[in-house]
Amino acid sequence: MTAYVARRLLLLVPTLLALTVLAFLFVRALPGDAAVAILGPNASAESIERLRETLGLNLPLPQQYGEYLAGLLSGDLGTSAVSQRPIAGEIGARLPATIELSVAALLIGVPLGIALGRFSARRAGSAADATSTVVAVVAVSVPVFVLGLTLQYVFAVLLNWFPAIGRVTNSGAEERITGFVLLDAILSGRPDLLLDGLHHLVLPAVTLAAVPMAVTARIARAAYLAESRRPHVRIALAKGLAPAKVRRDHIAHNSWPPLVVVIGLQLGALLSGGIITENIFGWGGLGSLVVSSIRTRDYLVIQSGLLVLALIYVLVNMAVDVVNARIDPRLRSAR
Amino acid sequence: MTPELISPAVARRTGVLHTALRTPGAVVGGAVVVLLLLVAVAGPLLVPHSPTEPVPGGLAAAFAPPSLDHPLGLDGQGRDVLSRMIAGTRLTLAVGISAVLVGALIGTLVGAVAGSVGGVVDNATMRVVDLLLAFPSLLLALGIVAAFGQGRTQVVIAVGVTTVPVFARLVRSEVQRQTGLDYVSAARMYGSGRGRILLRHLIPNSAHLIVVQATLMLSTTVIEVAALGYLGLGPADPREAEWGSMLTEATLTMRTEPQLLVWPSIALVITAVAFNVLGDGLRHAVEED
Repeated sequence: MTAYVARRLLLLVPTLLALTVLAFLFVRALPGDAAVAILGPNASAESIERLRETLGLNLPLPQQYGEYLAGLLSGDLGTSAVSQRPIAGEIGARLPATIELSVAALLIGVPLGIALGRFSARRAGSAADATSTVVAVVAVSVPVFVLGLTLQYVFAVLLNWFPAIGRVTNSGAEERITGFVLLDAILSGRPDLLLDGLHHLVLPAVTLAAVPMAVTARIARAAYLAESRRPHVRIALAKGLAPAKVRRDHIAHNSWPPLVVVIGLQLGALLSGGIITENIFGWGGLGSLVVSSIRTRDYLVIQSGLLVLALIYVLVNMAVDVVNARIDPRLRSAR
Repeated sequence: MTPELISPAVARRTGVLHTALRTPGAVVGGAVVVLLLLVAVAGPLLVPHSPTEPVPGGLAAAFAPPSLDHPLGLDGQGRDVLSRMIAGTRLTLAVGISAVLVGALIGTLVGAVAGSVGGVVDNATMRVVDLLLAFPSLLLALGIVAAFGQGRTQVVIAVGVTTVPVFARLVRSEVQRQTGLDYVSAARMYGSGRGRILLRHLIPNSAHLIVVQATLMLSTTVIEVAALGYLGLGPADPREAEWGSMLTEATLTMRTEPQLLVWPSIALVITAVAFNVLGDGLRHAVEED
């Protein structure tokens, strides 16, 4: 197991380097001069020259990359052209919102998907099975923004059950300890803020949970069915084990590995969907920062924002692989 | 076992459509897709009013409810919603289809070369393809739009690139599979070079799979095009009718004029489901064949 984790960590290095090269080339590949692209056509010649200096655009390319990498490692991502604040701070302030939303969506989508999938697998071929399959197909086909806007209109505007936008009612009222609204409310002993945060979280989290829920349900159903037809299940039943015990220990337990793989693959959908969901519900996370920076052409923020999102993706993917190897010993020796 | 000395495509041509026509999903999905394509192609002839300019007296009658003259009513700027929906069909499909064409073309080339050359080239390309395949497609598209600016062409490239890995994988495995078939050996013995075998035999014989995959991909690319539009990163001209950006505009007046959200949403879902169902039906037909 240790050897496996070590090998996986080692494989991470080239991937991370490739990502930083991409992020580095992104700004260098901007049409025309990067400094002009960043500052806009109306910038003065000397401010352009100054930015060229800070970005190191006068140096040879490999050296530029070296300096970029050194900056990254020391946590220096440059300064936003729009807000004039350090980018690392801006991203750090918004990261908790993105993580909170994604985790909430996973916590809703995955258990629900597994329950739904196993429920229909045990009734394969019945009307209930057909219904839940249709639900899953629709949930995958409906674009995130259509679902989000519909939920927002029905439950926030029409019924007024949930707030339409934002993470809290009075931003600034809460004590900022970790940046995670829910965690901060617990740490500062404020149940009212906790409820308020949860109240705001429901609609965005449900929106984002739809796709993972549907995909998990489909795989959970298939994995459960496949496992229940294997010989070891028949033997367990023939031995006289209680059917409930067979379902739990023999079928459900062995249908985990494909599920973990699929949950890991959902991360891409979660990140993509998160960018859109954050925009619908005014959720001040990393996704909305990247999109607004594209609109204002704040290239250095885009560069780092996309890099951080990609990093999250790669790191969590690796974590999923490790968890997988832990669950399914066969994978550890596989190369 | 008779050796396949003639291209399998010749033998296949008749069967697939026949099988596809027997699956109800493919028929319904296909009918909707044909209808959408007709609307898109005939769009300029169909639109009753200008999709980008207010109708005469429209500014004063903004948000007018449906009437005989304007079956879907007017939007906040006094423009005919039906005309905008029709123009949007054309734009969304044109951009979505172009993106898939770009992706299929590049993906086919990459996959065919990797599959037939093999070795280091194959390994290196597939590493990159796998990386791209795993990467969240919207992130990739955002990066491309961010670097090259807004506009139709940029959206086509951004969304098209995200489909490249899918086609590359598909064509590579198909090329590898067919290289072992007798008709390819026959062609090689006949004296055909590697390029000729690729272009005359391997790629045409993978065409049916590429078409099926392209149909399936269209349901995602259409949504992705609309997603970029929704995020305000679609066509450069904000007046242009595009389903995603129409939704963004509609959200501004969601509280008072929710009907404007309805049409683009329905159109998107129907389009995505139609391509999905049609592609699925075609795939079953091809697999059965």
